[in-house]
Amino acid sequence: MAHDNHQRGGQGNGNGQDLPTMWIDPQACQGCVLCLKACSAKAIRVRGGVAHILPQACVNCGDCFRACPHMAVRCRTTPLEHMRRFQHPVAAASPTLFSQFGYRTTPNQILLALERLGFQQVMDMGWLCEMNSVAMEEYLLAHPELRPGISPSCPAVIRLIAGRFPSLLGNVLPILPPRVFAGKVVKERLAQSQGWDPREVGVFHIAPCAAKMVGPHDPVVLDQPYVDGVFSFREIYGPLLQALQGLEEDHTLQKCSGAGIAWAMSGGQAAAVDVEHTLDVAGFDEVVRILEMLEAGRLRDLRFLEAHICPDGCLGGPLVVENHYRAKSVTLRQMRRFGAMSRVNRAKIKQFMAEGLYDWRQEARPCPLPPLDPDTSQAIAKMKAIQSLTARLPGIECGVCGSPDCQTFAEDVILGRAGEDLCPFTLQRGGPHPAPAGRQTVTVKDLVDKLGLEVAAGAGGLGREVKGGYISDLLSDVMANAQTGAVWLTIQAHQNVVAVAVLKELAAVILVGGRAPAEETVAKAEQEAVPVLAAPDDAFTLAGRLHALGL
Amino acid sequence: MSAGLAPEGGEPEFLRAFDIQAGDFAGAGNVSIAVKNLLKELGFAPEVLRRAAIAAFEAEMNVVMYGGGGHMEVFIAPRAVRLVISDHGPGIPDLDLAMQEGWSTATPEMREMGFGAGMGLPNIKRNSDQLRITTAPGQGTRLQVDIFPR
Repeated sequence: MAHDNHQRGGQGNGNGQDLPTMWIDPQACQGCVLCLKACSAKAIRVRGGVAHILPQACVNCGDCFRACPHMAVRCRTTPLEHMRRFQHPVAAASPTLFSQFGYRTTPNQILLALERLGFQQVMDMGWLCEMNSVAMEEYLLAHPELRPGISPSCPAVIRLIAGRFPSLLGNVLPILPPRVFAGKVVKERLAQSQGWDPREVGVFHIAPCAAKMVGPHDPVVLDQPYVDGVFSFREIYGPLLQALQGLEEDHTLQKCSGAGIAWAMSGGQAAAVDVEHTLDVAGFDEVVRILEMLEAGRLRDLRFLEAHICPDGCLGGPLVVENHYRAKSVTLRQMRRFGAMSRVNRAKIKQFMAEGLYDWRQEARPCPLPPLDPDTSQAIAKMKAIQSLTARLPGIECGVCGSPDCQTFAEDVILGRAGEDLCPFTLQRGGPHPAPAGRQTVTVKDLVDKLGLEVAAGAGGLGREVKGGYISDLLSDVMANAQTGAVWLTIQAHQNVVAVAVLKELAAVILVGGRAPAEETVAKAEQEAVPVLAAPDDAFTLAGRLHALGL
Repeated sequence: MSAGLAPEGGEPEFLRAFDIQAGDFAGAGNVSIAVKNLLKELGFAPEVLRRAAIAAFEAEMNVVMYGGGGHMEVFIAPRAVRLVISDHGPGIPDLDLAMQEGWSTATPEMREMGFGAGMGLPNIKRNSDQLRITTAPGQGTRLQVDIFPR
């Protein structure tokens, strides 16, 4: 796990602010295409044998982290020892943490174990999540025109909306998500009541992902200045496991019911927010599909949308320890055990809302990817250039060029981010698709001159255009498969070869391996003006040389 | 339908065409999404994207449901977006009637899926700055939707 060196007083302060949440270690990267292909945001490029992330396009979903077999993708979270930088460290752990220690470990035990690690205050985030459901519900009831309200809990989804669906930004419920609310309550209320110096209070979110590490590209910086760092499940898991050993359950920190325990699992919020027509969606592509529908003016009946970038919601976060199916099983068990009835006092939540305790400090701002050009005429010209280049690309989406697909590669080329020669298929070879128009034609004479071939017969046809090549010694195969204008590389030197060349309108016949044409072949070739050339190379070598010429 | 407005900055030029399959409810909406993303890349304002997306979606659904398949062509100028949607359907016998909100010829199956509210053409009109409809029984229908960024 990689860490930044951020200073006390906020994860965004000091050096930390300039560091991306996700990054790729060039030493460990093998330059393969796995992360490139896994990235739904198309935010990765492999250049010079090393993958790197485009920070403007990345939403911190973690799919590259999941895909990399070489551990080269790093999620930036806060080192655990940073809690020692504050006199009063406070833990605000995602309720997903309750699913990581099997059926028998209760949320209360996990909260007590956190206390044992040295946190002076351990928030029951399950409880704060239940409170959040009520706050979202109240907001929706007070704003019937908002259709749908979108849960602000997943920061990766918010980034996705700000970047690709800015028109939906106004649908994001302006209610502080539980982790931020926790920080605000601790710093604005608890610190005072305890007589703590607010500068010595460090609130740490314990998270199954790095998406909550807000950075310079975040459109909604809700977490600051309330959350001082994000500890990953993976890092705190070992210490917590130890703290659970021989734990004395002498007091109760847990207030939440099953509703809070399951809140961050996909469907947890949709079940808890009691309005008509809720929908929960999880996984990058699925979320995009739903947002596309919303932006097209569909799903008009919907009142509340819960969207998670990770499959199964936070249970499927990239930095969880437990397998997410098993975590779901544990969560469902605990839900039954603690019941789904929330005991949150609605009047109190309404009071908090009236006091502005749930209010955002700043508005969400759209941060769309820039258009092809700020000038629309130029953008149109560039799009046409992209279209025409895309038509020349093979469309096999191999990723060898280092861009995720042919369309994106064409964009990269036209926008000056990649050279066209990075594609192994375009221009250099005929490729699976026709060669681009306007390309210089190659004649049989060009081949003779450049490759030093001997003209054995049919010099009258040296001006023919060569459009490709074909290698075969079976005449019926050539009849079936050779293309018009191809040069035919063969060891067959008899006269029927010329007949086939005429019928298929081939550019020339090249006898390979130093073979010479039969007498009848020469006569027929002269008659038909079909060039018959002789090459000392074998077919494999000659084909390579022809490719090198651009055929 | 309405008085011809000349788009500022010249006639829109053809950019791309998309096929729309008849009866393809599963793939329905994909063309509108592609059109919207195209306009987004060209840097048109969110308001233009929203109107174009809605007009394109309604028109696409009409082609899927009634039009027997067809295509959508996108024409672009710096200050104009033009969508031309043509189908091979039966045409619209009474256009004035079809433009009325709530009037629909949707089948029960279509209504089951949430279509057929009789909002399609009115919605297209509401979201376009200029709408031209060419149709005749047996001749198919051609919609020309013009949106002028403000």
